Amino acid sequence: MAASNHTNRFPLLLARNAGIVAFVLITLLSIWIAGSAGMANVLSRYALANNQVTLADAAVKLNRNDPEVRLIRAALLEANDNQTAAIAEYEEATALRPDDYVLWLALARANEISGDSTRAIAAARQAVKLAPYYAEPHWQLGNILVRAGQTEGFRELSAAANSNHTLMPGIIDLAWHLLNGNARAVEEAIQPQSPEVYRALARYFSQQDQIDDAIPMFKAAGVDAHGDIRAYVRQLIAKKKYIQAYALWSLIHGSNAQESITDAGFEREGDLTESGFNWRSADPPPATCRFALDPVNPREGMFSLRVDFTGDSNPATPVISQLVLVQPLTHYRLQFSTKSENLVSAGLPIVIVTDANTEIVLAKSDQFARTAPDWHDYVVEFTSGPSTTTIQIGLRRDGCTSPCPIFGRVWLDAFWLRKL
Amino acid sequence: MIGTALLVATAILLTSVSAGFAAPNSRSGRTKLLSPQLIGVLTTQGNNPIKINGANVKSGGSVPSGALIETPNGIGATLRIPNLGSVCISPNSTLNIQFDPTTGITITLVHGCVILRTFAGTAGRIDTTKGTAGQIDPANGGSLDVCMAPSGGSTVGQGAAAAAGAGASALDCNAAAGAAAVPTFPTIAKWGLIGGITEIALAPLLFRGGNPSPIVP
Repeated sequence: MAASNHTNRFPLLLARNAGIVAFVLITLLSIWIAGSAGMANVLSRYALANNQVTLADAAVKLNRNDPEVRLIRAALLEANDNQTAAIAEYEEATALRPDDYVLWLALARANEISGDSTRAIAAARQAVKLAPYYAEPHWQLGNILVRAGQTEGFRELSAAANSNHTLMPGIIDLAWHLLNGNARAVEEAIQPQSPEVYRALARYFSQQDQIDDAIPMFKAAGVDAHGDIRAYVRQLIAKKKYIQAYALWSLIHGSNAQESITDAGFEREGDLTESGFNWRSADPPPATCRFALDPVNPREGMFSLRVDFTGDSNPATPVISQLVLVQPLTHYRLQFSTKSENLVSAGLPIVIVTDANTEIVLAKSDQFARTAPDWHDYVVEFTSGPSTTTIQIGLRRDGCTSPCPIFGRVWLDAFWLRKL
Repeated sequence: MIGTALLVATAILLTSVSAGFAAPNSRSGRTKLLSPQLIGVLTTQGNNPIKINGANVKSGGSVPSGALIETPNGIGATLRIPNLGSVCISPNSTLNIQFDPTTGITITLVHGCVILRTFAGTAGRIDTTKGTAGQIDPANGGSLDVCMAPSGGSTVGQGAAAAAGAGASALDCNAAAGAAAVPTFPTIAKWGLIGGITEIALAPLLFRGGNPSPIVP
């Protein structure tokens, strides 16, 4: 009877305390949900750290709707060579969080590894669509496309490199290798659109000794590439590749008519240490020799070049010189004017013309007078050799060997080279 | 949750979220095909760049045969070569890699450590400056690990490469590279379990209110 009373009273008690019961149930449910999620998270982390797929399975059972838990299981399946299951799991993760481009990229990568380039590309394109302004999706899509044999991938890679310029040399190098060292094809694949990319292409082609292909890249790169151009001109001249060096040098300095002397009348200031086709001092510049543009009584124009000698210098090295492009097997006349003052030396100055390709002396002037207050015109004639592309016109000394000090000053002006 | 996402991204050698932005490419053109070539897929530890032929390349990058690979201090890498195998590279390594469906995978290790794994049917060989350090029989494929000290001494098949952190993550080559970032079970799980159990145990007490039933147990 007592038991029956209890039984009859239970629904009544339950109804009387419905609110409390509901609260307890909701609390227990919340605890279960939170606990499951937490445990799933902990389990999946542990599974990842210890490469245990079974724990990852358990984590997914605890919380099937956590994309990160699914992602970890997918990664573990993939690491354990179960590509099919891994892809299915990655797909679950992307379905749970379809706006997360990172998940799409993971799916893309898994598809690619399993050999399904089409699905890989589709997933990577979805990632790009979700995050078009991030570099990473472009980078991943570009690489997948390239590995699938599509040159379109290089444009995606270029888009990635727009925000991370350090990637561009690697992209160009990849294109270079995959396009069999064809510079034009590399340029077409990369489709440069900014000075930085042109500069990177120019540098790369230079390193590959593709000078003719590098020149238009340097030109397109603009002012930012001038430092690179100067350095490269120096290298090319050291290798006696004068024609290419001139083509590059003229990007900065403008193109003169070939077979002519740059600043033949010393009318403008210039950097005498810059390698190229302008007037250049010895490298290193001799401490006992100073140069100045002198406005007093020039032979022509506004200035002449005054050279002050104040001690020892190597007589065989031109203290100032210029490289000039010429034609092979051609007869030339070089004309210039000098004056001098109080020259004291066993080896007086001369102007010498050498074949820059072979370093054979083609012609040299008479020694300058020790003192000649008035301008004196000199003429030397020479014929270039069969392999001559460039001559060097230089001021050096004749008649002594080092040590051979010199004191005094000379003026130079009105150089003129003429083909006969 | 964000931490977990980052952890996952690192551990599975995917892509980390780049801070940079890229302008969408406005040009479109007809897709041209490259001549068929086998290309390796690079993953790097933490998506940090390593040097391929002297240029920076990060996770997801493509590595052609003949590449010179240099890993900096603290950055391991894994190169997967489709249908042939994979190479796990420890930090501070320099090597050249050649691969071809016919000849398999050949590594010339200048210094550092590598683990070479090939699938069945693919030959593998690791050379050092002192000669061939080891080979993998193509009949079954297999694994070979070699470390080459700067002094020229080499260690073969002793697990030294794994100990040196070869690979982009722990999942790649059984190395310790990625595991260090993950809290271990005894620490986090223990406290999680204890916390969870405690919470479950205490909840009825904390929220019990009045006795809901006159039943006395």
